[in-house]
Amino acid sequence: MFRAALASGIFLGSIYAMVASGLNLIFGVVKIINFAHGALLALGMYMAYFLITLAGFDPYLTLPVVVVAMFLVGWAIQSGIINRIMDSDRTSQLLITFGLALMVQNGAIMLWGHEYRSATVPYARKVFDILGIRFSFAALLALTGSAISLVLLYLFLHRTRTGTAIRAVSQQPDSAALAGINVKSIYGIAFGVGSAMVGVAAVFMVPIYFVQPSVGDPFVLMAFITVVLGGLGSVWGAAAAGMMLGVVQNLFATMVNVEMAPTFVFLVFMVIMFFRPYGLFGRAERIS
Amino acid sequence: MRATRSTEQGESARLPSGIGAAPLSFRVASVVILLGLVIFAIPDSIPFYYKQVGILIFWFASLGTAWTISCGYGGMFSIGNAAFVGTGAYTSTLLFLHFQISPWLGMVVGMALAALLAAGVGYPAFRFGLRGDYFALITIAFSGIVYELVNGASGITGGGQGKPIRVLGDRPWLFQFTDRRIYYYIAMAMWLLTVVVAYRIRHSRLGYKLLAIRDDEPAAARAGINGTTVKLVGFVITAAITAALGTFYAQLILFIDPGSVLALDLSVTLILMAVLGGMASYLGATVGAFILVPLSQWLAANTAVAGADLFANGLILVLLMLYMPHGILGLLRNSPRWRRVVGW
Repeated sequence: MFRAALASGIFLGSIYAMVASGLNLIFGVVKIINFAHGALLALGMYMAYFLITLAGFDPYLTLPVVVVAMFLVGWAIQSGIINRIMDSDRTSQLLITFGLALMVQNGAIMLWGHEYRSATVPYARKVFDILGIRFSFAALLALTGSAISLVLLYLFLHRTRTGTAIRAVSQQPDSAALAGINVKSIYGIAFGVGSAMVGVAAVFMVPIYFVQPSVGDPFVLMAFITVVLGGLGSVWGAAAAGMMLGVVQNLFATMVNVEMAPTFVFLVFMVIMFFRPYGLFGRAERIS
Repeated sequence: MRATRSTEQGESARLPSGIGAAPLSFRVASVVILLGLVIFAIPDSIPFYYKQVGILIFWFASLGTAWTISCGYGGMFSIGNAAFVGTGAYTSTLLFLHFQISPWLGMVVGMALAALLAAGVGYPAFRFGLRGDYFALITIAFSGIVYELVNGASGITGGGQGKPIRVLGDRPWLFQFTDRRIYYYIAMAMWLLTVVVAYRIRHSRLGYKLLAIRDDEPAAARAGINGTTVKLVGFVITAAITAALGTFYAQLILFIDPGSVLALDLSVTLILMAVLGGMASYLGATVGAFILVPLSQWLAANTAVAGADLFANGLILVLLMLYMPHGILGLLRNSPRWRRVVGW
């Protein structure tokens, strides 16, 4: 019982970690809370779903297509819309992503309706026994995919020129501009990479979850919490916090009460926000 | 009392503000419109549907105006006001269903409870200096907690199934009327009260302090304003008014469920009202509601596809932020005279 809860917690945590690392990148670089993140997750899942059902893809082979498409969507949102209001009020920036979320989510409802769709393959449902804990193949793949994509994201941010530029912009946009970095185009890339991470999560979720317009809502709420707990700009912070949240939520659900598990997580989040607003793993630098 | 206050505030405060500062034609027009709105519901031939839209216009206008007090004036960006709507709706309903307490009394209890909740969330948040995006996240988490609690405690609240309120016919004391016009007039009265409260706050000490904090909190603190207390008072007032509106909604529909009175969508919709009209003005949410509520209702009723109304809300929000971030009344903010009228 405990082990099963732990296993499903680790799986859930790996999904949270992927979604949150994308959100964290956007939040850390563009300094905007992207409320459209959940809607983008749903969009990515619809992309994968239609590639599987209409174009006959294997669920996991949709990965490159969805990731590239989601990068372009994110890049377009940032360059086409958000870059134009980077200098206006915080409220405008907050609300514009809310507006985008409403548009994407309800656009999906208008086009494809509320119905629950699922696309899976028989091999994804195979169950493995590891150290007495039962994992489905799909969950194992999600776990592996999460780990690989997080490592790749870390390497991209720390070992490439573009990644270094992204980190420079996230720390000091003005100085970065003085050093010859095109800040607005970096914003576009950061938003694109953040959305691409959502695309990765979406592909691994399609064989497990039903595809429907509001599928992203619970994940994105948890992702906000993960980002705040993990601290800004830290890939490992987001990963660790995501994993922790997944495990805590699942253990609470199994041991105490299923219905109150999200409440418990929200409550923990609020308390931590009050006492460590820069996150469990973050540094205090961002308070201005 | 008025006179002493304006001498305190110096020469400029002696100029009329609010509607009084507007040209005569505008004042006449607003009186005529207001009278028109009073008369609107009287003919029996007005179909139920239009009365309902009229009620919802005033309801959303009040919700948006209440939000304006803490966010438009004080810069506390709450995206969790649905939690207060739900608190009001569920408190009065549960007190009525379990203890036969009149929803009118329940409304007061709900307001007190919402004020307490707002203080409970607001005090640590303001005390530890959470503002802007972080405060927004806290309010989302808070409304998430209330949603999940109500949804989970199905034994008491009915959970996701919702809770119907017994229809008892015409019982004014129990906040139930067979005549829809009465709901319309109650909504209108609540709206008028909310706008007057928002207007009075804007021109009070509290209002100026809230504005100072919104514009520059460190500077306001250096000028001797206690940011925590002032923000807390603003937030509590917003919560109490919002809860009263929640009770009204429960008695109007006679059915509540978490999806209708506690959802994030409601929090966003009421913000949209204020932002469309101009969130720094006490009249902003009213202007927004008069445009947006009929539009959403029309889209929901006349388009074959679901989701069109919320899609339109999203589109309006994006376009608004790109091209008119200060809202409709914000267009008037550069004229000294109209600035006083809309209380920018």
